[in-house]
Amino acid sequence: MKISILLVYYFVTIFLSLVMLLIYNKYTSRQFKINKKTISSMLIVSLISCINNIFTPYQIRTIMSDVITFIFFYLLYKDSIKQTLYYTIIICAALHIIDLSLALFLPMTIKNIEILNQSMIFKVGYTFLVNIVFYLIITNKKIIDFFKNLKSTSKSNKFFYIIGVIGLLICNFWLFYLGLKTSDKILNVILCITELIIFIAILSVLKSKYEKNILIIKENQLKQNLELYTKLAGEYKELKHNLMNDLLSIKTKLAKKEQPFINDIIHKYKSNYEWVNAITDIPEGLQGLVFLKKHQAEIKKINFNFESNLNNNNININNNFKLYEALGIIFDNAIEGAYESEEKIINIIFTEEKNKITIKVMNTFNNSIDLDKIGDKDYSTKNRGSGIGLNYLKKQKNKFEIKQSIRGNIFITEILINETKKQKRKK
Amino acid sequence: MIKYVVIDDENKDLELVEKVINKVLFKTENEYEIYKFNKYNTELEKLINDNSEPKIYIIDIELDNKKSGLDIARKIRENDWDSEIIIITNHDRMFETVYKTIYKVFNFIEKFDNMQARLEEDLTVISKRNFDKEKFVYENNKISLQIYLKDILYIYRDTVERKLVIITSNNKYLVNLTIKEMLDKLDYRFKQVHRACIVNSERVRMFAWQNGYFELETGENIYMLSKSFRKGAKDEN
Repeated sequence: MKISILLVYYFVTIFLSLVMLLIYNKYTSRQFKINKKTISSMLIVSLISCINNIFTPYQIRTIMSDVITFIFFYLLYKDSIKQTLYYTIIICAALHIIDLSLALFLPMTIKNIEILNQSMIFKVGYTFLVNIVFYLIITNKKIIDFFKNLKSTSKSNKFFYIIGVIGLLICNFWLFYLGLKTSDKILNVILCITELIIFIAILSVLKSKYEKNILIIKENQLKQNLELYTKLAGEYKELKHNLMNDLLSIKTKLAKKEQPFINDIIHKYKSNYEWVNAITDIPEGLQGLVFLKKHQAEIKKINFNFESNLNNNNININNNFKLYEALGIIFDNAIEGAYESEEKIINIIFTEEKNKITIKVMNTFNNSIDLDKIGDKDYSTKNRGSGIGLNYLKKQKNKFEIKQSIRGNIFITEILINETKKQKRKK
Repeated sequence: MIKYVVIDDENKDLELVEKVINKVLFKTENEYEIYKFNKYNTELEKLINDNSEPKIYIIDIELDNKKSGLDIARKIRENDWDSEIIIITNHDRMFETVYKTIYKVFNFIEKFDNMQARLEEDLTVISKRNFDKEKFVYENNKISLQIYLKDILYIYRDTVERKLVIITSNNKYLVNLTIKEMLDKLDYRFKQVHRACIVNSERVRMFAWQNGYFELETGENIYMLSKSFRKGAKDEN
């Protein structure tokens, strides 16, 4: 091999190392700095890569190249092994997938590929072009965000790493196999489809796992928020109570001319004062739902208020998923209704009397309602609604009693549940 | 006869409220009766469930009992949306906005903030009020609707849906009734002014018979006025 060709080859490998490094920097939110350490590392790694590509047996060449990339990132930045491995897998897998796809498609689309393949200028130009396209695709903000989120959800999960390594090995195997049989067009098509299926399968497994993990994280966050809210609500309630008592005591001791001043202070603390809701009185499963809906309502600037006289230990509505579904729909309807009204108020009351639990949801609304169509399929009181919500509730009427009524501008939905723990024990 | 129901666990406050009621009502010719309770009991429950006459409730929020003033207010509103409710609070304006809107509580008055004067003011307003609690009621197997007649602006027939549309200040209700059936459910203030329109004459600013429209107190003009119904509409302007 001529020295000039070797030099060109070395120069191309340096360019590839630079692209890999830039991508790694993007994924780890680093600024790319040109210094002695970076340049010398790149030169050494490129030299090793060149030696690998020329002297290593074809069967393990790609795997070796991935290992060199991992060591290169690890030694240069000293990130944790987990993080370096994670991003190496992503970068190498993406590069292999592009390599594979081009190796499969180019022979099918370009007739004289073998002649072109002998031209050094074509090879160099092709490599540059592929690497620039590869860089632009892999550093797309959405793709970076996706993999970063995926990483944050897999902190304690080896699953992602195992899947990643397997994916990488499959890509390597295919690259090796293609090197042996590039002229067989039918085999190429089969390999292309298989590669696509494997790629989609790995992605869908990752996505479902990711979504599941996201749900777990959200659930945990919700629980933590709920605990925090309950604690803060209690403290706030106590503080407000004590503050008012203190101010009123001061008021009684002040002279008449000082009264307007203290009255102003009292009014200042009373303005916009709403009772702090005691969320702990309702069952645990419902606490999360109520808390979530309260949060959603408050984003829409709706005054979401709830009261309860339930004894939490005395009820048997936990794990009643149909009830939770129905309540979710009722709360959503109430939020939609209240949002469009002037007053924007929702009031929810949980009451228990003679082994009967009543959940009453009352909301202001400003709508056109066909009283004979309400609850019918495809009829919605909301402009953009599909009517599924109220229709679903209608179907649940045999599971628990649901009553709906309108008093003036107040829409009232009541759910009556008959059975409580006490009753069950008697059976 | 208007019944004043005062609920407070402290006798001195019961007497104070009674004094205010007497002071306000003395100036009027209204017949009234005062009922006093320290807590929720069967006698009070009976009184709440008796809807024969309108009542004015003055309830202390913190009662030395299982049921608080708000519980009693909610109990009242289970069946009676016509009576007036005034809540006396200690210092917390509990659920004020919610209760005023949802449970139609007339006012929240703080015990330590000019209570006597503010109660007097509220009772004077209420005593001068005409207890107009006539309602339109419509029920089917899906939902029940109750709206005060005074809240209805007008009613017209929707020719596409082939239903009557009741228009109030905030909402629209479509019901399966004929104009005649609807007129039977309404009172004297409602006039048929078009073959497809009934109007609440007390909510109309002007009838322009020549131009075929009437102007609502909201300023909106409704072009559903027919001369052939002029005779029937006595309260025309």
